[in-house]
Amino acid sequence: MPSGDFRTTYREDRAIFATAWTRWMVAGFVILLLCLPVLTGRYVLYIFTLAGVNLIAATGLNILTGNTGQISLGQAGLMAVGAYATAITSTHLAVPFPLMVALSGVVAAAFGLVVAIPSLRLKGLYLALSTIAFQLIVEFAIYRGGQITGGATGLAVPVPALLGVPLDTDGRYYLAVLGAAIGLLAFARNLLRSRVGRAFMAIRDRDIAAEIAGIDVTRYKIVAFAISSFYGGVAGSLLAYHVRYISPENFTLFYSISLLGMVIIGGLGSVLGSVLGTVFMTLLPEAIRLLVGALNEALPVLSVRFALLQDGIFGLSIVLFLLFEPEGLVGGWRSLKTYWRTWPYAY
Amino acid sequence: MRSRMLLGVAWLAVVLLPGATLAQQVRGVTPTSVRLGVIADLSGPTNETGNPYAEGFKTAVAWVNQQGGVSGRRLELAIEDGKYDVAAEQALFRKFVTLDNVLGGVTYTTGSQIPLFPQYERERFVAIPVSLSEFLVTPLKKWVFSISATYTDQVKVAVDYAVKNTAGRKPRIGVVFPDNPYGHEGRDAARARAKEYGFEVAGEEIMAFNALDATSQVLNLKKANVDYVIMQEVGPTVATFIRDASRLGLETKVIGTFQTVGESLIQLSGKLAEKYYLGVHTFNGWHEEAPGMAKLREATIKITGSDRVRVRSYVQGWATALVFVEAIRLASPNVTPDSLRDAMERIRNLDTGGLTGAISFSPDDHRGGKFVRIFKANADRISFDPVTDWMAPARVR
Repeated sequence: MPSGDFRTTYREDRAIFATAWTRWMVAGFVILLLCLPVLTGRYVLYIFTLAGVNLIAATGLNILTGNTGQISLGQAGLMAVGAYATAITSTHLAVPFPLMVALSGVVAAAFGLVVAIPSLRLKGLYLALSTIAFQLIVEFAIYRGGQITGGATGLAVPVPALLGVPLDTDGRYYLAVLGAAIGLLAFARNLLRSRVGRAFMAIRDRDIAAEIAGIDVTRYKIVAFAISSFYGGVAGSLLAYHVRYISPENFTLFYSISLLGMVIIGGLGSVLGSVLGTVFMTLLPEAIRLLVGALNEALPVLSVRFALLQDGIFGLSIVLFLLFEPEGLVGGWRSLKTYWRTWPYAY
Repeated sequence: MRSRMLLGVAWLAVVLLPGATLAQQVRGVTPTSVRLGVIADLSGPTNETGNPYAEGFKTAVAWVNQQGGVSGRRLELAIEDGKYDVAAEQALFRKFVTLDNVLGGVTYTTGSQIPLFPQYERERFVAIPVSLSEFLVTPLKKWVFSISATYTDQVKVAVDYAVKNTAGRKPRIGVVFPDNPYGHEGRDAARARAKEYGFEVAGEEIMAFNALDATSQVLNLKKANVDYVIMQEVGPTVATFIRDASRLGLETKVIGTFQTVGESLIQLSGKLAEKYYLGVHTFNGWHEEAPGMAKLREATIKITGSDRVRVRSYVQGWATALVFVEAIRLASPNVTPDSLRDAMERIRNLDTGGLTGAISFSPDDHRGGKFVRIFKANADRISFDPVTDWMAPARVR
């Protein structure tokens, strides 16, 4: 690690990953992720693909909630809009996979504008309630959609293809989702460093002061909702292609709450927070399941109780987390880095 | 540098070689064992059916292993909790076929089945879902089998019962169901059957599994003046409904389908269950005097050490395990996914010793059982006593 960190050009100053060490670490991590199809089995790839989809949705939600301060419990509803846009369109038209995903994002962004309108007057709990209402309306509309949405039965989604290559294996589709996730994360990271991102943060911190300072609060709130909904729509579309069969049961209020949980646990307002939170929330149930499975082997007589314990352990871990690390995993990561860098001194 | 390259090659070999060798083995089958998998709802809204089902299947497997296994092979079992969640169940199915090496087995919810159908086909997985939905067997799915009469058959028999027991006019029937594929099947079956008889369903009410209040549903059905209410729900929901029906003065008979028949209903409703409730089911109960049930009782008490009365879904799990055992026996010694499926289709009149009717499959028909029975509640014994014999839906003239 270099002892001094000197930037001599504006370009160096602007770089996202400031030191060579960070750049190598990130590059190494990305290469490891790219090699995952060779290193692991299909089930792990399936879980990682789901994590990638959740990551995109959580990043969008983090931009809205963490950076702009607009609490939203309707992100799963926007994912549903994207997913159903994909399913409905692809049964009638042969739209190329990347274009379909992008269009689903745009459709979701349009719906997001509808959700944005109450946000212009509402804050906090009231905004949360209006986003819950949106979520429930979307679910209701899907159930009553008859032939168009397939109602409770759902819709099938065809196999996607990229540049002529069908993405019909877990490995190939995982790589496609990985590519989308990396691209969207890079965009989010840059967005938050830009003028738009700073406007978002001004609105989050004190929107009246932001208004006085000359920031068009209305416009930026709408932009935040639109971008966040675009991310949700893209995530929903990718989920639809992943599971190849969607029904309203894939996009419940509980899913919206889980996404918000990922963002809060990871750390509000940072892209790294979205990543850490998503990984934690996606892998924790798997870890619990393994633990419960092992305990089942040892004490089969209690197997009935342990199944119920899973949900309990999950909720308890989230609560403990919020108690002892309120800034989320990112806060913990930063504390760790600071401790490492300043050791043996306390400051 | 060279040693590092060698290390890299060795690492690659270690990583890739096991994958290559695994691909050649038959999934879930070794010379000494066969592995089955069960995804059941152990902690979600239907866990009062899911837990006994899993226990029944597991105990049956232990009993078969105690007797020497199937044609020289031990049965292994992987049990997972699907939580009645479609997404979770799909992930667990993937886990079964990729990580856990499961040959075939049981999946749970009605809602998961449509997304799983192409996956059963792709993975060559013989599935006997716990769900008894009509669309599992109509139209025929190559890899899906149902050992019992479907929800549609049960609702038809319920409507037949209502028609038979209403003198001089057509019965006024209400239907209560949850807003999901399971519930919609009950609603659609009731509508279709009523239409065959030449009348319309008088009232339809949506009620979620975990609803704690049925006031609006009861009042609406009271307004519709129903004689019978068919409930495609689960036991606790029926208990809630009966409680509110009694409180609000709805004089009606409630006929609940398969998933409503459970001891928790009697524990929650007591004498009200005797007054209001009839249940349609395809399995006999713990107290049945039949050789298969006696064996089930004896083996259960011996293996689990508990002589607590087991509910009907326990019997369902046990019977499903026996069907798999028979298919594995017919397919032995060369057990593969395809030979297991062919063996399943060769099962004719499998006698479960009184657990349920005889089970038969054929290449054109994967509906193993066609008969149902109507039971009434016995609050003193906390059991269900048969009111009718085994019957299939009547032919409507």
